[in-house]
Amino acid sequence: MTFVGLLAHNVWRRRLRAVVTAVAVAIGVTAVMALGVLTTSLRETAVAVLQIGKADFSVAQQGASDVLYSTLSKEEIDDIRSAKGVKSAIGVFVQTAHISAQHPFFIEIGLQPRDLPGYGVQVVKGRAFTATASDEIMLGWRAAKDFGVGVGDRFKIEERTFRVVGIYSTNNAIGDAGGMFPAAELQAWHTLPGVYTLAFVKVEPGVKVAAVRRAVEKANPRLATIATATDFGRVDRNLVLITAANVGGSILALFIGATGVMNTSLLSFYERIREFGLLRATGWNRRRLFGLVLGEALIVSFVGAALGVVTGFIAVIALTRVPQLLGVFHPSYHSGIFARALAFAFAMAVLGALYPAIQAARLAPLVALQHE
Amino acid sequence: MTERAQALRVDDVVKSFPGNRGLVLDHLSFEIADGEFVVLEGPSGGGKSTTIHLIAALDRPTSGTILVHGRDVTRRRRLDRFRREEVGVIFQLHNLLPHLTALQNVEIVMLGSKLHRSQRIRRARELLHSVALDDQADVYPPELSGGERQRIAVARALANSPRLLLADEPTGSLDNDTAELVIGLLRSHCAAGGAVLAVSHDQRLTGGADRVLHLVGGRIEPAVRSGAPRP
Repeated sequence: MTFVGLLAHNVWRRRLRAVVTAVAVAIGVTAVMALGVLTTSLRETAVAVLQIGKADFSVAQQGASDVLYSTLSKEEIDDIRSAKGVKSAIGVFVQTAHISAQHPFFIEIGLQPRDLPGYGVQVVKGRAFTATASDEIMLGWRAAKDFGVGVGDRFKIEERTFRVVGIYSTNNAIGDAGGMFPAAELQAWHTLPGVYTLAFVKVEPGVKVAAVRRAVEKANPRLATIATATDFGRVDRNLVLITAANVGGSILALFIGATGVMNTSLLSFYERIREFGLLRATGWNRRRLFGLVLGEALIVSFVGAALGVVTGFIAVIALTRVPQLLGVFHPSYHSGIFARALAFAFAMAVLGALYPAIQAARLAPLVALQHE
Repeated sequence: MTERAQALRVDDVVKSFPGNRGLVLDHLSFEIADGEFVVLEGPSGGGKSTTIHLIAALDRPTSGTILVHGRDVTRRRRLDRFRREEVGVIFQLHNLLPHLTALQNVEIVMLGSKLHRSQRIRRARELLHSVALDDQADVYPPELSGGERQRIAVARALANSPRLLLADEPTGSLDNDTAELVIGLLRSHCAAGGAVLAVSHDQRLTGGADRVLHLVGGRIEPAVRSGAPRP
């Protein structure tokens, strides 16, 4: 028998209780994993919108509740364009449309035809729309595939019908799942003439991006520049709130799991006081006994974590079917999410078993042996 | 008689408990030499088990010193090491772990030792062989008789090769054959240079001891009689 073998043996002899505890841990890990994947994926989706233009950085209204509610005037974009070190600044109007239950989040991108190459748009079929065409649309190749339409077909968005004049590619999953319109036409349709959502900025070669960002922000205090996912919270309060909900939900899940582990460990401690007393009386030191209680909790927690990762996957798949998340939530799994789930399982075990383990280690052998 | 090293010296030990039990050991003093088999007898509640507990460092005396092979137990810091390496205890109620096999019950007390797993298993098997339980190695205690359980307890007490063996009523509930076997094991330990202090009312045990100490009122009575001559 090894020490680890003894741990496994002790867990196995109370297997029903171990399973119940592992399920509690699994629920916690599932919540942590699902929330983590959801938050990360939503952030990536949101950031992907900003990366369509392959710019050095984007500019949006600071403190907007949602980046799509950001508003920039033509004058502000001209001001950015004239800033020192800026090579180009493209104003883009972005909205979303509900097309069907399966496609509730269709991205509409409005920009000038002349800005298409600078925005990284490659027309792969047909042609680009004209600047003043009121019924022309270019579809991203993913959208064209999803909706089963091609060049020359009609495409209906809400109450309006457009003629597909071209298929484009941006090499960006979000961009390629949307449609592009003449900026003025889309602005008019949404009754926001002259208003842009974002500006995509490229800097002159050799110029430091950070310096240009600082200059733009200094000259336009109402605006914020975004280059990384971390910056995104500055222009999208919703994502900040989602992230906060993720942290809060994870902490709650941690305490739920830890409470389950503590309940089991305490019950086990009170049932095994004589056993612990015997082990102390025959030469086990406090550290070994502490390790026994904690080790058993760790085994249960890691089994729960493994189960939680599986149920987490299932939960994420279920989330992708939630109507409100269709088109927005594209699950993205990173090793960090699994590491986080394992860290949470470890924390649950330690938080839950710490007190019983300390109590076991502190037992006076004789008192424990005489315990009824 | 050749001069033998001192295995145990209990010197002026007082142990009192709060409440009704009050003073249990009243300036208790006695010695045991290596190779000696000593039985402590006396009326119930006279402090016999308390004496075992104090020597095994399971409890602390109110005052006095207890030297095991010259080192004061009451002042030692690493009591776990002392309990593991220097003293073996055979408890009155066996105290076997019911969820572990006979072999595992013997092996578990060696988990903190420096022995490799294979060495621990070999040692546990040897000990079970010495108590004639080779064929019960994989049996769980609830499936064994009282005598078999007591023999496992003896094997466990000897697992870490302690020089001093303490036994609390080791033969009280055993039939004659099993009691003889257990007494023989204790005598073998003494013959190998170890010392045994057993607490018992059992005449089969006192008859096999080198010395019998009478504990009355927390003190050793002056009259100490010799046990049976060694075989």
